[in-house]
Amino acid sequence: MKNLMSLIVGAIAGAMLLLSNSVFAQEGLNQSGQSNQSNRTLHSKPYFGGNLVVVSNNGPSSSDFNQSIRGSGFIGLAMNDNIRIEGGLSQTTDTEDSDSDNTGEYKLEITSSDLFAGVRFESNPMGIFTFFGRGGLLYYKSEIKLNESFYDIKPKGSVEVDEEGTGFYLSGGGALEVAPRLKLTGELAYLVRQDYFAGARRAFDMKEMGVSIGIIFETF
Amino acid sequence: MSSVHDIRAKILLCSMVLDSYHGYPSHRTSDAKERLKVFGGFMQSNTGTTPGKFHLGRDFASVATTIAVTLCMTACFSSGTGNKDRLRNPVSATGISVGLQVNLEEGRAEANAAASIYKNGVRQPLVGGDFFSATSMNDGDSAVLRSIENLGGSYVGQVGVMDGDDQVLIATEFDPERAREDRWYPVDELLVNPGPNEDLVGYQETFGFPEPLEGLSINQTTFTQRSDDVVVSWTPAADATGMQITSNSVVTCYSTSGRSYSYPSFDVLNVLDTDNGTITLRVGDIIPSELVLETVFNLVLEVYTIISAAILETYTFGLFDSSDIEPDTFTLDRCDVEMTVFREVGFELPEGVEGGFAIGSSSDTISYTYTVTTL
Repeated sequence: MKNLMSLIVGAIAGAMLLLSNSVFAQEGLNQSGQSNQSNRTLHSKPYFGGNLVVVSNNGPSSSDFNQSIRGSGFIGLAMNDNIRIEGGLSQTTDTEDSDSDNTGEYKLEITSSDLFAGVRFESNPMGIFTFFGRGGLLYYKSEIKLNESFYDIKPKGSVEVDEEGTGFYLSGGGALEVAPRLKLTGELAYLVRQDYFAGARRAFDMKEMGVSIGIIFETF
Repeated sequence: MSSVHDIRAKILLCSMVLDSYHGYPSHRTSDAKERLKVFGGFMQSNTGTTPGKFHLGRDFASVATTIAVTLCMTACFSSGTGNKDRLRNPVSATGISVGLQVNLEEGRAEANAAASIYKNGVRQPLVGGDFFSATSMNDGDSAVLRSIENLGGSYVGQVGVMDGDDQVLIATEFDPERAREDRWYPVDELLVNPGPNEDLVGYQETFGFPEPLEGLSINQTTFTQRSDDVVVSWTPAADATGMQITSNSVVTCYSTSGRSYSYPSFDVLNVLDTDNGTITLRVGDIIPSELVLETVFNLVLEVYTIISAAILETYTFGLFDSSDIEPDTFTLDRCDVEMTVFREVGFELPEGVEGGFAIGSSSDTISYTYTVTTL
């Protein structure tokens, strides 16, 4: 299942890159032939973006993760005036949960990289201010590190495990055109990485809810 | 009305004992008020705060700090009735000692188990996969005993039992995954295993319960004079051989301004092998005129108290925010007493154990109030 999802996500991302290359080539021809500024069209035009998300992390109910930062970069392609497809990479660092009990004191850290692809719905795409919503699938790879000590009664230690899996994301927000082809975005984002330690007795999902700011550069 | 005099010095004395024993920097206190709070594992404010969600090792911190004092006091324990405890031996200065008790409260289907372990006279916290377990021999139910403070060293838990004929096994075990069964993440996949403390694991004892303590009653439920007699009665055992009757009272006193504190009071009610079915105590034996918090926690009282707390479901000890009680201004209004009477039998100590006790008991609880009268 994980391999299948990674193939699908990879295929989507690859297709988008190929499409964007062809669009760049087409864009170059257009620029040498005639100006398209007066007759601006969005069809098959790429855009690029990135954002930073301040996320609150939620694992199982008894966990207590701190806030963390997720950075992402993406590339997209306008399919028509309102629908775009996009994909990219994101990285979430230093997601931590620490606690103590009779057994010892522990700190669990999760660092995740995501490859994601999905669809963006955009309203009023030619206006100065637009609303958008987006969602899609992701493939994650996480490094999980557990440090545990035992009140100096027994020797402390650590263990590291890599986990891979799939998930999804949903978000919505607005974009403000601050310069030609450059938009400043803000959005509310929700992301789920599913099935950490699938098959284990305490398999869990990691959920991120956050607020982001970002930019989008459009080639149209 | 009565006012408290002397209490500050005695509280400080107790808190110094606590400080000197405990020795963990995070629990040390630097001034009188803080000492009061630390000692006040059994102190509560009455300012409207309500108990929060139970969180092992966090909410019970002050309680455990209080019951953490055990070592030096075992030998100096005395009963208000003058009867000597015949079922318990002191902690040995060398080797391993344990304090183990399993109690079945009247009408309950779960037994409370409490346990502590000592090495060379020093109580040992069980960490890194070591733990006490209690297992019902008939019911099959098993529980990991937990300490209300992470390094407290006094462990308590409940285990389902079929009936009074059931037996409960208490053991020190090493199982790194089971010790972490309360954690949210997959401990089978993420595990730091430091190995067992070979000196502490591998001890076990099986306990039975004496005849249930039935028919517990009291002559009245409200008293107004310290000279009043508290007459407690119960159905005597058919055969009292090897049995001992004791009580542990959890006393919560309130001031006229609504502040409060709690403390335990232990008594051996009958001498060994006798069961008269009645005992007469004076209110003043349990509620001293000076409201002196001079109770010195020892292994016996500690185990009693955590068992009583489990019985009474008064795990609210320490869940209230500790307030700065100014003893000089604490004007007593009333005291509520939850008195648990135990019928006890002793068991052999686990093999290789040098001191301490192993007790099986049945119990029941009554309550009464002492109200201060103004002339």
